[in-house]
Amino acid sequence: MRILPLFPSPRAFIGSLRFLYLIFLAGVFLAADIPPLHAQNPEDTVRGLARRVSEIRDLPEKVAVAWTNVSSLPEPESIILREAFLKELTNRRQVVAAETSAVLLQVAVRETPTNFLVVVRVASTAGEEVRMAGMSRTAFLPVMTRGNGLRLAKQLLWQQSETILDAGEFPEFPASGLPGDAANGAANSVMDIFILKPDAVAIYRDGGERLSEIQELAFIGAAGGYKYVSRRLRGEMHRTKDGSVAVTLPGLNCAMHGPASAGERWSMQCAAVTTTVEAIAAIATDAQVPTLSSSCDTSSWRLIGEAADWTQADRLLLVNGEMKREEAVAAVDFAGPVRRVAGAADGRSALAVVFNLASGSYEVYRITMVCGR
Amino acid sequence: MRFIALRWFAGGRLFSAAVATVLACASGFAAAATAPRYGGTLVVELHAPSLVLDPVKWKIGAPEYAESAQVASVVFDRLLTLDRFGRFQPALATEWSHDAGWRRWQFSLRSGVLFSDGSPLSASDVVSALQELLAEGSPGKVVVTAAGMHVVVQFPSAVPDLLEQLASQRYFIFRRMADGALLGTGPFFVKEFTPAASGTTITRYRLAANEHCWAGRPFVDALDVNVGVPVLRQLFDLQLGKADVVEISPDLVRRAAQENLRVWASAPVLLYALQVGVEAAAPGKLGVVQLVSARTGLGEALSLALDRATLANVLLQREAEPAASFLPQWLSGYAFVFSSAFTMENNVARAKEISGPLFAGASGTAAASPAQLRLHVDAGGDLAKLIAERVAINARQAGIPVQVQPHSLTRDVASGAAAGGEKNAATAALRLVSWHYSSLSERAELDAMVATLQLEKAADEKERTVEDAEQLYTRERRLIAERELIPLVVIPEYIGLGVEVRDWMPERWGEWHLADVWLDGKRTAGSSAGAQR
Repeated sequence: MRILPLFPSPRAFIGSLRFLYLIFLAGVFLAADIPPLHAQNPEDTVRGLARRVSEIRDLPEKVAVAWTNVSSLPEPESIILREAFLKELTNRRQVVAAETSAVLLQVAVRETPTNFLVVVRVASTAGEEVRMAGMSRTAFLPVMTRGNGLRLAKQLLWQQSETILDAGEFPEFPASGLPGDAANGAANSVMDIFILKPDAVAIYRDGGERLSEIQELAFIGAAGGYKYVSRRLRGEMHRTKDGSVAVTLPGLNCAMHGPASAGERWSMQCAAVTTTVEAIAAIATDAQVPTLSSSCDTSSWRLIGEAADWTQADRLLLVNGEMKREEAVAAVDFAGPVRRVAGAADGRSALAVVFNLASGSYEVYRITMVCGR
Repeated sequence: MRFIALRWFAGGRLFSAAVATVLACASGFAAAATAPRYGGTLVVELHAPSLVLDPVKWKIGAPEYAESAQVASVVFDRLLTLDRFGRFQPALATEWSHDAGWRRWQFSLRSGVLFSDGSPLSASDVVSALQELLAEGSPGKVVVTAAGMHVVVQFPSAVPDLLEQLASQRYFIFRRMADGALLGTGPFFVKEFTPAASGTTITRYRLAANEHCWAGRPFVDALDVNVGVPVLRQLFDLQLGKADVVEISPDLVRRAAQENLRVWASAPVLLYALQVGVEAAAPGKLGVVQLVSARTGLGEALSLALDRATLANVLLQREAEPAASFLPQWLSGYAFVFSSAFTMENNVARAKEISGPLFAGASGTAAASPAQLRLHVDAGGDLAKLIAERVAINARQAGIPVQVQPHSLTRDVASGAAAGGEKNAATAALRLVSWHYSSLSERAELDAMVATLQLEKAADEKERTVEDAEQLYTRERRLIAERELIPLVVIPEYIGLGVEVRDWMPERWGEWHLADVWLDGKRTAGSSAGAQR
């Protein structure tokens, strides 16, 4: 009598061991009390919800779906979730228009302090069947707050009810302060804050406790009869190579020259031009992507905004190189649209002009990169 | 995500109106052409008779500790906070992680943090504070250990919502001194306490700015917190400019709006509910009675008899919302399902049908039904008495004889098992309870409510499982159906703000953030020579 070998070859023996090992691992995994995965993709979560809804006992073949978003989830995100839900449901049920007499699935997106909740309700013989699935609110943010060593800090410098077109920080003595000229005294020069308004440039100095106005240069004095007329509220200030500050407004170009020594004041010369608002908008758009550097690393970072229009609160995102918006590593939120953002000459900070939707005031923030969390 | 801050307010007509009021008031900011100012004293007036700044002594859900928590939040810091976008933000902890089973949590502490006396925060301080706080709130033994600047918390069962808990409730980090006093790392410290003068009820706490605060010095130099101030006087003080931040009771909100005062409303944070049970002597506590479960059908009759809409819209002048659930919509996300379900039905005829047999013979049920059912008002204040009176009227209309008792039952209920044996000797009774939501974890809030009010047998440690939203909903639905606690109304917190108050940026769930507030007015002039940014 010949006893047949259990394994026809050593390779088969090893293969069987591997198979048993995999079964063992699967058993361990199933036996463990594994909690729900909170980091699941939101679309997967609603697909899972659709599957559970389709498994409701006595749910008819034909159903209609009424989807409402009663939360702060942006509508485009809600539409993506709805499509994922409907697609999964369609694989298992016939989804028909809501106005037909089919059983109606009422789907509502709601929220808690930490989650968005998709709640599905359907009338049943027992009363009402309810199914729901939660998704972390952070899953919908373009920026994860954990896992990177950079963040953006904002400091409110100024707020006023009058319109602010632009803001910048320039040295008291403009002959110094340009990049590379630290040797000639830039390091000791006080940085003043320049606020560009439709009718004037106001210069403020940080007195330690509060900002105080040291000078205001009105356009009407420099260019007789000039009146700012524009619905688009554009204007731009930047520092030129010779140390003066150039101001561009609809129909007006100005050059501001700083004091050469202590005790002197800024002066301004203006000339009426045929500058179009579009041209100014283009200048401002180019300057809308200031670069930032920090001691955190040697990279050059960019700040980009998000708001589609001025009715929405905005945020500035920090991106590096070719990063897309969705890959931003840090963000800073504002209570209104960011009207303008411009980098400082030293690249260490940027100033953002924000219209506060709650208070109706214009605010100037200094934005800096901070290492660590 | 830019819509969140705006749409978060879209909770209903009540809050739309409140927001409109705030926005209208906020437009007053437009006149201010100034940068945030340092200096000045912010005067806060509170109605509570006293403050208890020791978080360990707070009873979860008790409204009398809500004001203490607001003041404590400027004296102490948490390990982390939650922002309005649902992101956990580092505070005393800079990083955190957990194991796959959510039982072992590790926190890395921020270095260089100082207490208000200038001494450094250490991991052992955090361990001591957490041990005290977690010992009461968690079933089973919680082990907290320190290793360098890391703190490890080991739970006997999964706690997936630990971050939500630590970002709310009483989870402040403190150092307990030898005399029992607590030191904090927050933006203010208690500098002076002035007891009530003879003939008055008002005590005063003076809190000074903490120059060592790791998050930066607060804008104002000091907080004057006046405690025990009657609500009407608070309103007058706000009008006269004697106070900057005051509490406004719901019945005074309309008046404040008519007088163009700035009023801020939180999400609904206070629940009034009716507990149905039987009175029983509390074991070991002479003369103290408690409520234990009855399940006679009385709860269903009362629920059908109650007209919550009238209660909220007429009695509380639309400054409250009818409540259909234990947890509010903003916390659970699913409470709206209950609003259209069985819980809100007002059917007096059906209530009469059910209550008729219960009171026909005044006996014959598990709990003896007396000629007059006593309604104990556990919640304090005139508002609670008003609500109780209205409940009694509704009940009588449905044939349920209810008499309001001015004195309250104790909250110190004993174990359900011990009380259960005395059910037959007890008489049916009602209790009006108030519950202040304090946790950002819906599960923790429901657990605390169930445990404090003894709505169900406390879950055995081995039975505890990780609940998702649907499981929590199912559990709450079952609890509501048992009718031992009938939700009545939920009320927001209303705060009146002085004209000089700027950057009032509280969270919707009620945290004030007083360290970020600054004063725009004469009182700040020249008062903060040493202030730094």
